[in-house]
Amino acid sequence: MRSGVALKRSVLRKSGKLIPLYPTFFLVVFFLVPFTVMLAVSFFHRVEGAFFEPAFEFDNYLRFFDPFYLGILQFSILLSMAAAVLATAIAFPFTYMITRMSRKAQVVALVLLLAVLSLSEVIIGFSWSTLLSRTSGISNLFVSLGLLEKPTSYYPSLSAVLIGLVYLSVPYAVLVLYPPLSRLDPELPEAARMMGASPMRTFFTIVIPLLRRPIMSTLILVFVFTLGAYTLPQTLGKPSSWTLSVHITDQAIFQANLPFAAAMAIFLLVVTLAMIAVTSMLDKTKSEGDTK
Amino acid sequence: MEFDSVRAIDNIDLVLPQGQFVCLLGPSGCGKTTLLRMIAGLNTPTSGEIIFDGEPLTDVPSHERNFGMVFQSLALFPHLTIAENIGYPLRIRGFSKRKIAARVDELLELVHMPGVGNRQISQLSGGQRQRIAIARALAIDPKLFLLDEPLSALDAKLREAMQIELKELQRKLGVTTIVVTHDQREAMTMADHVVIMKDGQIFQQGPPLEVYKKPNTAFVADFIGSTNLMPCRILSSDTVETYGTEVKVAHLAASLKPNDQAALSVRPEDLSLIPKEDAPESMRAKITFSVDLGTHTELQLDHGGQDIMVTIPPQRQQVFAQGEIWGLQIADNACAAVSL
Amino acid sequence: MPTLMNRRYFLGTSAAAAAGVIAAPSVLRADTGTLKVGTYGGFFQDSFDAHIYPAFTEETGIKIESISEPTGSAWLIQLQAAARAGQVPADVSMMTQIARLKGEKEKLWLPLDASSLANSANMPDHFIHKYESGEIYGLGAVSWYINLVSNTEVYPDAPTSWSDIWDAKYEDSLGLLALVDNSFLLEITASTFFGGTAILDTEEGILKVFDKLAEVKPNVRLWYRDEGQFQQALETGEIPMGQYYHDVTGLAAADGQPVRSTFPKEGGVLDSGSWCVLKTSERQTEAQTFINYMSRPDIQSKLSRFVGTAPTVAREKTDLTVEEFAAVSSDIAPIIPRYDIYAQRGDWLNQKWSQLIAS
Repeated sequence: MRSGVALKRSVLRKSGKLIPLYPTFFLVVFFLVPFTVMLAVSFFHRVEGAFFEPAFEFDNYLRFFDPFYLGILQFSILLSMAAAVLATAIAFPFTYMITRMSRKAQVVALVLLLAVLSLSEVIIGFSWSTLLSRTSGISNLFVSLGLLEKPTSYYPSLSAVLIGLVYLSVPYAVLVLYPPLSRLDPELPEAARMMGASPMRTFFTIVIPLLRRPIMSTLILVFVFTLGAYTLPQTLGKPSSWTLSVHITDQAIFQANLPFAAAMAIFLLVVTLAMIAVTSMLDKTKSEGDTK
Repeated sequence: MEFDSVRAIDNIDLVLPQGQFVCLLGPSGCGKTTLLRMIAGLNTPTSGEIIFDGEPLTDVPSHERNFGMVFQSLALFPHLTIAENIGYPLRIRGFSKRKIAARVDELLELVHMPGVGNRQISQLSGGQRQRIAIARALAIDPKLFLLDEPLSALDAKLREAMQIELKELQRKLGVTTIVVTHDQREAMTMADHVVIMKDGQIFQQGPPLEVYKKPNTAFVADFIGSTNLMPCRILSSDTVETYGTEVKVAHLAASLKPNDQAALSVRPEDLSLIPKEDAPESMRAKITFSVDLGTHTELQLDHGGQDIMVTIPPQRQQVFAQGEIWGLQIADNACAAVSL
Repeated sequence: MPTLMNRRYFLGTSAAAAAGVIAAPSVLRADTGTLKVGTYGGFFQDSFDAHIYPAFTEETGIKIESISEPTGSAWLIQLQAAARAGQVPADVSMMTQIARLKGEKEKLWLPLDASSLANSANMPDHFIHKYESGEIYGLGAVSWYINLVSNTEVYPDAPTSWSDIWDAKYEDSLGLLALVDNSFLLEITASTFFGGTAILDTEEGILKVFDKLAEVKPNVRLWYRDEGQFQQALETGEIPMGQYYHDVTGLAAADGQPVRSTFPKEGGVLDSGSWCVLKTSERQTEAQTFINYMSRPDIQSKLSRFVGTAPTVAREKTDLTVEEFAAVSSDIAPIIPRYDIYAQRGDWLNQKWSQLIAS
C-alpha cells in the first residue's frame, strides 16, 4: 500500500516532466534508432554478390581510406563550402534589400521564394540542364545578343553543379537570414549613413558584422544541406563532379552494399560535425575576444 | 513626402535660424520626425527643396551631408566598443588612429565620461548611452546637429538633467541644433526656437515664450502649457467679449477681425476667483476638485458644463471647498484670442 | 519531362524504398485468395494492370494484387528483410538478373515444381533459372534491348556498329548509362573488340576491356542515371547519340520524336527480368499457375504488342508478324549480359568503373 501511494505521488510529480519526453521520443525514434542501426550496419560484413551478415569489422571503413574515396570526400566538402559561400553571398544582400521593402512587397517576395522551395532537386536539375543546354539554353540568348558565335552547352560541368546547388539552397538561406535581418533596427545602418558611410560601406562595416552569427548559421546550414544533395551532381555534373552522397546512394541502392554505404555516411557525418564544431568554436573565441 | 499614400508633410515653409537650438514639437504622427529625416536625407521629399547654407540639399545623399544625428533608439553599434562607436565617423573619413584616439578622448571629456573608451555598449546605463550617442554625433563637428526624441527613453529626473546638459553643450559649441520632441516642457527648457506641428503642417513658430504668450490657434495654445479655451467674439484689436463680459487681450491672432467668432485662451494663472455676488450669472462656476500642491493650489470648476482650471498663488490664505460656487475673473491684458 | 516516364524508374522510388528498409520492414500481412505480383512501378505496372492481369484472372480465377517495386537492389533488400520477418510483400516478383542471382546465393527464392511449369519448354535455357541442385526457382518474364540510339535530325544516317561510339567524330555527344551493371558497356566493348564476352572471365581480361572502354570517355557528354534526362536530351538533339532502351525509343519515335534505335551489327544488349517466388510465400500453386501462364507464347506476343518487350520464347513459337517482331527485337544475335561477373566481383567492378569514369 505504502509503496503504491509513493509511486502514485512520484508519478504525479513526474507528470509535469512529461513535456520534454515528447521531443525525446521523436529524437529517439526518428534519429537515435535509425542512426544506431546505421552505425551497426557500417560494421557488418559485406557478402559479395549477396547481402551482408552481422559482424564487427572495420573493412568498410578501411575501404573508404582509398585515395579515390578520400578524394571524393575532399571534393564534396570543397564543393559544399563553395555552395555555402556563394548561396550566402547571394542571399544576404537579397534578404537585406527585401527587409527594407514595404510589408506588402516583402510578403510577395517571400511567397515567391516559398514557391521555389517547393521545387524538388529533380525538377531543379532538369530545369537547369535545359537552361544550360546547347539546343534550348541561355547560350541561344547570348547568340541572339551577338555575344556568342554559336550556341554552346554549359552542362554537364562543375559550374553547372555549383549553380544548381546554389539555386537549391538560396531560398533556405533567405529563410534563415530573414528573421534576424528584419529584426535589425533600421536606425543602425541609418546612423552609419549619417556618420558618412556610403551604403556599401554601411553594409560591410555595420550590417554584416552585426549579423555575423546568422551568417555563420546560414553557411553551416547550406554546407550541410548541399553535402546531402545527390541528384543535382549526377544530373548536372560529369562523373568527376559526383559527390560522396552520389556514391553512397550508388552503394546503397544499386550495389546493395549497405555496410559500405553506412560506413561512408557515418564518416561523412563525423567529418561534418567536426567541421561545424571547429567553426562554432572559432566563432565563440572570436566573440569572447570581442567582449574583452 | 509620401508616407503609406498619406502625405506626412504638406507644404512646409520653414526657415531655421543659424546657430540656434530648434525644437520640432507636436503630437505623435504630426510629421516632425519625417521632417527631421528629410533634413537628414533619410527620407526624400516628393517635391520641394531643402536649402542649407544657400546650397540645395535635396540631391546630396545623407552620408555626404556632414550632419550629426542622435536617433531615438540611439543606434549605438553593439559590435563596437565605446571608442570605436565614437570614432566611427572619423574612421570613415580616413583619420589616423592617433587623431581618432585624441578626438575620442576629447569627446568623452565633453560628455563627462572620460576613460570609458574600451568598454562595451552593453555595460552602460541609459543615460550613459545617451551621452555616447551625443558624443558620436558631434565627433565630426557637424554642420547641423539633429536629435530625434533623444531623451524619450530616460526616466523623468534624468531627462530633466539631460535637457539642461544638452542645452549647455549646444551653447558651448554653437552648433545649429534641431530636436524632435513631443514633450512641450522639454521644448520650453531647451529651445531658442520652437516649431509647432500638427497633421504635417506647421502651426506656429518662434521663441518658446512668445509662442506661449501669443498663440495664434486654439491647438497651439492648448499644446504649449495648459489653458482654458472660452468661446469669444472679437470686438476690436485688443478687446473681446466672452460670456457677456468684455476682456482686454494681450494678443490677438493676426487672422482675426472684429465680429469673428474665436476662442479666448485663458491660462489657469490668469483666472482668479471672486465672490459669486461680484460676478455676472454667466461667469459663475462650481468647484469640483481642489488640490493644494504647496507651491500653489489647483482648482477644477464646472462652468456651465465646461471644465475650467484655475491656479491660485500660495499667498492667498483662502480655503476653497468642493461644491462652493465662485465667480470667475479673467485678467486683462494677459490672455490671447486665438482662431478655432 | 517526357510523358513516358521510365519504368526502370531509379531516383525517387528506389531512394524512398531504401529508407524504408531501415525504418520499417514491410508491414504487409498475408491475405486470402489473391496472388501478390510485383513489377517495376510506372509504365510496366500500368501495362500489366491493363492488359495482362484481368485476362489471367478471368481464365484461372486467381485474383492479382499488383505491387509496385523499385528497381536496383532496393526491392531485393526489402524482400530479404521481409523473408527474415516471415512476411510476404509480394508472392511473385519480377527481378533483374543481378538481383535474381544475389537472391539465388541467399536461397531467397522458393523452389518450384517443374511439372507445373510446362511452358518453360518454350524458353531458351538462360531463361530457366535453377539452383545447383537442379531445382527450378524462376523463369524469364520479359526481355528488352539496350541499343544504339541516335537523333535522326542530327545524324541522318544511322550508326551501324557499337564501334561507332569510339569514333572521334562523336566527341562530347554521347549519353551512356552511368553504372557498370546497367550499362553493360563491358559486354559491349568485349563483343565489339575482343570477339565476345569470354574475356570477362578473368580480372586480367576485364582490365583489358576497361582500358579499351576508357578510350570512349572523350565522346561521352553525359553519364546518366535518370532515363528521362537522357531521353529528353536525345529528342532535342542536345545529346544526339548514345545507348538506350529499344522499346521506349520506339514509342518515342512513334510519337513523332526524331529518334531511332538501331540494332548494331554486334547485337543489341538483351537484358531481362525474371519471375521469382519469395521463399516465405504460401501461394506456390497460384504462383506457378501465374508464371506458367506468363510463359505461354501467346501471352509473350501480347506483351510485345502492348508493352513493347521482346518475347522470352523463341520467335517461331509466337504469332508476331514480321513488323511486330522487328518492332521489339532483331534476328541479329544479341549480346547477353554477363550477370555472373557482377554477382562474383561486383564491388571490384563497381570501384574500377567509378574510377574509370570519374578520372
